Amino acid sequence: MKIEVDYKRCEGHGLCEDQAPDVFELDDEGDLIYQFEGQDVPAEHQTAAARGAAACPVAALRVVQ
Amino acid sequence: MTPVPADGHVVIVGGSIAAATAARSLRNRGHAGRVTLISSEDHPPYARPPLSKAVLTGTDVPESAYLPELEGVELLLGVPAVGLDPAARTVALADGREVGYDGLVIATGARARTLPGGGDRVYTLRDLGDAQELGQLMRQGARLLVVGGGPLGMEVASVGRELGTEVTLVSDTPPMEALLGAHLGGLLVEAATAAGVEIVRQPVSEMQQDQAGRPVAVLADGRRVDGDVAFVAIGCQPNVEWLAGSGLAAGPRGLEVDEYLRVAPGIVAAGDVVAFPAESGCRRTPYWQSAFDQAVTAVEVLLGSGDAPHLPRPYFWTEQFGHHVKLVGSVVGDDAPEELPAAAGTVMRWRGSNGAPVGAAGIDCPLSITKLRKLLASA
Ligand SMILES: Cc1cc2nc3c(=O)[nH]c(=O)nc-3n(C[C@H](O)[C@H](O)[C@H](O)COP(=O)(O)OP(=O)(O)OC[C@H]3O[C@@H](n4cnc5c(N)ncnc54)[C@H](O)[C@@H]3O)c2cc1C
Ligand code: SF4
Repeated sequence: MKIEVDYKRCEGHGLCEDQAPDVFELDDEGDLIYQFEGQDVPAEHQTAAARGAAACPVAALRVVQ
Repeated sequence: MTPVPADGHVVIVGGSIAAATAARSLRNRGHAGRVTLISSEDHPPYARPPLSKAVLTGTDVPESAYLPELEGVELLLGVPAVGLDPAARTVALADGREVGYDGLVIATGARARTLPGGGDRVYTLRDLGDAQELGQLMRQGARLLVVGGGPLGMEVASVGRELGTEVTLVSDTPPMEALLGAHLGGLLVEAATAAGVEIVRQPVSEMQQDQAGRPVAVLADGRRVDGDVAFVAIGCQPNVEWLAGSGLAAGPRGLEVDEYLRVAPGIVAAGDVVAFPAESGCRRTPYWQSAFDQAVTAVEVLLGSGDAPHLPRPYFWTEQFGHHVKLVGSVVGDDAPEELPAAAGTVMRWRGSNGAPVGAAGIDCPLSITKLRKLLASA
C-alpha cells in the first residue's frame, strides 16, 4: 500500500495527523510531512495510514495499492 | 447492546463522511461479515467542504472531492432508504427491495434548509450537483443575493467576490458571530466588507420574484434586495423522514442517541443526523470532524469492541475573504480572546468562567489541530 499526497491540495488541518501521528505530521510551518513518501507503507502502519487518509476533509490523500 | 456477531451483516444508510468512515472502521476492526452501504446519491462518498470552495470556483473537478475508495463494501448507490422496521431488522428501499441487517448504522446526514418563494433562481448548496450548477452561474457573472451569515453563506459570498460578481449578503444576526464570537466574527465581517460585499443586517420576512423572474428578499423593515440568483444558506435539517413509523426518537431536531451513539438494539447513528446529549438537551453538531469521530465510536459500540462513550472534540474551520480560520473547542460569547505569540498569523484563546481555556483559534496561522488542542490543555 502506498499513499499519494497532493501537497498542493493540503490545507494543513492535521486531521490525518490526529488519526495517524506516526505516519503524518505537520511541521511548524504547517507543511505536511509524510513519513513514507515514495515507499510502501510498512504493514504495522497501514491501518492507521488508511484511517488518516480517509479523515482528510479536502481529499488530499489517496490510497493506492 | 448485544454486539453484532463477527459474521453478521452490517447495513449503513447514508453516503457521505459518516457512512464511509463507518464502513472503513468496520473493515479496520476486522469485521468479517458483509457490509452494505445504501446511499441516495449517485456519486460514491465524497467530501463536502470543497463544494463551497475549490469545486465552486471551478478550480477542482467534482471527482477530486471523492473520498478514498471503500474496499470490501457493497455500495447501493442512487437508492434512498424509505423505511425501517427495527423489530424485523429490515430496511426498505425506494425501489421496493428490503435489506435485512444484524447491525445498522444510521448516517443519513442533513439537507439544506430552504425558504419558500422567490422562484426558480433560488439555490442551496449541499451536493456536487448544487456546486456545479451554482458555480457555473456565478462564473457567468450572475449578481448574487446571499441569505444567511453562517459559514456557508460567507464562503459562497467570498467565492462570488473572487469571481468578480456583485454580492449582497442579508443576515439577521452578525455574520459568523454564532460560531466564532463577536471579536473573531467581526474581523471576518470587516474582511467581507473590504472585499466589496454589501452586508445588510435584517431578517428576511419573505422571498418574492420580480417581473423579470429575479429573486427578491423582502426584509423585515420593508426594504427589498434582489439578485440575478439567490443563494440561501440558513442551516441544515436532519434527514429523518424515512424513520417515520420506526418508533425511533427522530424529529426536526435530529435523531436522538445516547452518549454511546446507540439508538435501539443493533442500531447506532453518526454524523449530521445525530442529536447528541449535551447540557441543554440533545443537539446536532453538523461538522466534518464530529461526523468522522462519531462514526468511529458508533462502529466500536456496534461491534462491542470499545466501551468508551463518544467524547466530542469540536473542530471547525472556514476559508473566506483571504482568511483561513481554524477553531478547536468553542468561543466564549462577546469576550475578547487573549492573543498568543505566533510565528505567522494570529492565535487567539478563550477562557471559560472558571479561567480554564475552552477554545483556541488560528487565523492564517499554520498550527495544526493537534497543536491548537495543546493550547487548550496547557495554561
Ligand atoms: C458546501 C458545504 C461545505 C461545508 N464545509 C465545511 C467545513 O468547512 N468544515 C466543516 O467542519 N464542515 C463543513 N461542512 C459540513 C460537513 O460537510 C458535514 O458535517 C458532513 O458532510 C456530515 O456528514 P454526514 O455523513 O453526517 O452527512 P451528509 O454529508 O449530510 O450525508 C448524508 C448522506 O446520506 C444520504 N442519505 C440521506 N437520506 C438518505 C436515505 N433516506 N437513504 C439513503 N441515503 C440517504 C445523502 O444522500 C448523503 O449522501 C460543509 C457542508 C457543506 C454542504
Ligand atoms: S488532513 Fe488533509 S488537509 Fe489536513 S493536513 Fe492532512 S492532508 Fe493536509
